[in-house]
Amino acid sequence: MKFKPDEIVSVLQSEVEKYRDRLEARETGKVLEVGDGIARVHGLSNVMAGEMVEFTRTKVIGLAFNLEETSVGVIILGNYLELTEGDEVVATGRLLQVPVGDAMIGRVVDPLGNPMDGKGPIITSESRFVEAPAPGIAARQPVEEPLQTGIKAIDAMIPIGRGQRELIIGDRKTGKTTIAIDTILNQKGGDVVCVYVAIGQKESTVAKLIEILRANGAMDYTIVVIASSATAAPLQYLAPYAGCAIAEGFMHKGQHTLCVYDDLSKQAAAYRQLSLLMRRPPGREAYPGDIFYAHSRLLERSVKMAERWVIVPTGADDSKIVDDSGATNAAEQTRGQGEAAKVYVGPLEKEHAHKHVLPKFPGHKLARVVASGGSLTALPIIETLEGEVSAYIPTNVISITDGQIYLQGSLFNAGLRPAVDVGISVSRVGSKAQTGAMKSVAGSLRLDLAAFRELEAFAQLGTELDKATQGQLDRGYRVVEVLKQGANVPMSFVDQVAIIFAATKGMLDSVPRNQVQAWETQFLRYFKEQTPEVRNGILKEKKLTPDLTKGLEKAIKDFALQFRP
Amino acid sequence: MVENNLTEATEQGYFDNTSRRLIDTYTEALWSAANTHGRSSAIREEAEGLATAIRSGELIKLFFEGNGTSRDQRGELLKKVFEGKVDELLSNFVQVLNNHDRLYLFGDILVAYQKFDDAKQGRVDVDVTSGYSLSPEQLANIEGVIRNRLGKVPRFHQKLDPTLLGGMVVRVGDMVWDQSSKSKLNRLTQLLEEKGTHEIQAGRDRFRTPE
Repeated sequence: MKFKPDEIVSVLQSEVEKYRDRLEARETGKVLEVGDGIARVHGLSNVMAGEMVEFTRTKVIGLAFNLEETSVGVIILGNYLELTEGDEVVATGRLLQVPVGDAMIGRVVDPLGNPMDGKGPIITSESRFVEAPAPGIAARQPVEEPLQTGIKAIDAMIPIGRGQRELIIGDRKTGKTTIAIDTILNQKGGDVVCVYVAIGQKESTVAKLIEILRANGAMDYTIVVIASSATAAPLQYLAPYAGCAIAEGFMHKGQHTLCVYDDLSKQAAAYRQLSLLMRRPPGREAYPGDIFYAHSRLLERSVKMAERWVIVPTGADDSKIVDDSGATNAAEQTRGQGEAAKVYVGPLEKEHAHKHVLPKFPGHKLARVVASGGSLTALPIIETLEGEVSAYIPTNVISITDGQIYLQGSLFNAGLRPAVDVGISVSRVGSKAQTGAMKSVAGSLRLDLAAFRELEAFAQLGTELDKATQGQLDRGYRVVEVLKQGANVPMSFVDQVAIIFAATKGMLDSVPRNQVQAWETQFLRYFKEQTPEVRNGILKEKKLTPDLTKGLEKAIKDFALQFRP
Repeated sequence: MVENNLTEATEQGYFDNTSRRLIDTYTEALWSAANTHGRSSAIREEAEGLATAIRSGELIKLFFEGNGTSRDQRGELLKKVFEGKVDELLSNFVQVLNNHDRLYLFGDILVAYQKFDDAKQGRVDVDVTSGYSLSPEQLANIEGVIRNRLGKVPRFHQKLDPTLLGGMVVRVGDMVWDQSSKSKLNRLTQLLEEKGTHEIQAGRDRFRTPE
């Protein structure tokens, strides 16, 4: 690498020549007291709520948090130990922003967007406000596209759609983070940009997670935002909003994003600390009155943006379509000079355009506006104490999200991993966010499992069972066995479909229970290598046509002959 | 001046809302009474002197803020100290405060009174910090600008700070107008640093091969 010093010097020289002096006017205040990450400031009489302020001596940034009659409560985003009483504070007139854009991908940053990975400065000209209003209903469309987690139990029974908010809830050490990380790993080679926000966690844990992401090549599409437990409360409080803003940067360019907030209980605790220090009145469990709003405004920012479609000539470059590219006007005729282009917003208008308008324009096609149709899927995590879901923060977040994945310590310890309690886990988007193939094989899985659980409890009483009941039990044991999955080995949806198909159709009944996992591993290899036409067929069609069903059945039967436990 | 007010206010709990409301109410009452008799400016001068005196002596402070003596005793004492020596209004005011057991606010009220009077009279405290002492003509110039801009009469407090190199820093309340050479140089340094980093990074990107 060669630098040309002359070039740099000439740039600087021209800067010096162009430097125009202006009178600097600033609004100032003085620090009255400082401590525990907050400062009280006298002055700054015109400061806005949420405005950035700067402590001029140490260059530390703060945020105007409480506007009171005679003073301003400021949360300090940085080292507050060096600040002293009487320090000057200057209002900046700006709101807090984080850098966004492609330069962020693969980086580990703090909630202010400063790099933490020692890979040099992040040079990007784009930035977004950390606190931004959620898109309104006109800008949205229903959540229908699946976001594959790669975890059989979840993709089959609790499907997650792009733009959904699915809570992962459970006690400590039940595999909450693992589910989130596996979901990130499963996006490899896909079109989803992931943001992992670590709030109040041990740095050693986060380092380990980043290592897993790196080892699996997931850092190529992932950004990690860290506010570890060593960070002051203000940064822990801001981290999820910053992560969300970074993801929104991609979403508004039409990309799909996934944002994991790990975990919001710690963020709530950080916010409680700030609020109590600021003397805001404490409410239930000493949380401030607006703790619900703190979480709801964050999770409302998860969205599936409406797709916008325009009719363009067939030869048009798909990567350069904007609202103005359309060939039709509001009356759906050829667009004249000076007329605005007609944009078809959402799936219904798209269908209308496809059926009724496009035929009138031979040599044209429907094309999606590039910056439309992005999504932000949120996976907030909440840690419960002793399985207590009726505590304040868990109930709040459960009511905000579109469903929850509930993890049970008892299942985890019984070796059932992921320890998803299927009975009380739901996804309010439901099977709309499932591929046809998965829908057809997993449709009754939940009910069957529930029936099995009841039977199992009954069977434990030692009563003798009739043959049909025993058969149902055996089937159930195999389904449970099939839903087990190791950490960090997400599975593609075709493989999931094949395995669940085998289990629910009773094709595993002859395999001993303890050999099901071995069967699965061997079958998947066989499936991929020996019957690629069936596998690729399902992958392409995304549903089980009669032919494909037959092919799959045949593959399973053929494999049964060569299975070696 | 501003700084002194601030220290005083912090010491005495001006930022405690209850005390502050009391202080504001008593201050306004005193000023209105003084204004009706046309003596507001005279009392301001006395208030300034008294405030300094209270600040300087630990013993005086203790007398006003402590409650070691009874109300009557204090009343007698205040009569001896103040009567005939300060404006009659101010002397009466001290007695009123004593009767209401609010004597501990006296220091704060004196400070607040000066500010209140200034605001009513359209006066404003202006801190001028410069690298060299300013000539009367220069000050008159600044006064003209401030009168034009804020419509108020400035009361100057001059400070010398050789590290500013040239130019000056003018502070009115929360607002600071900075035209010193020091801050100009600082701004230029910052600008060049940013530009330089950007150039170096751009240069590095040019040589980077796509992976």
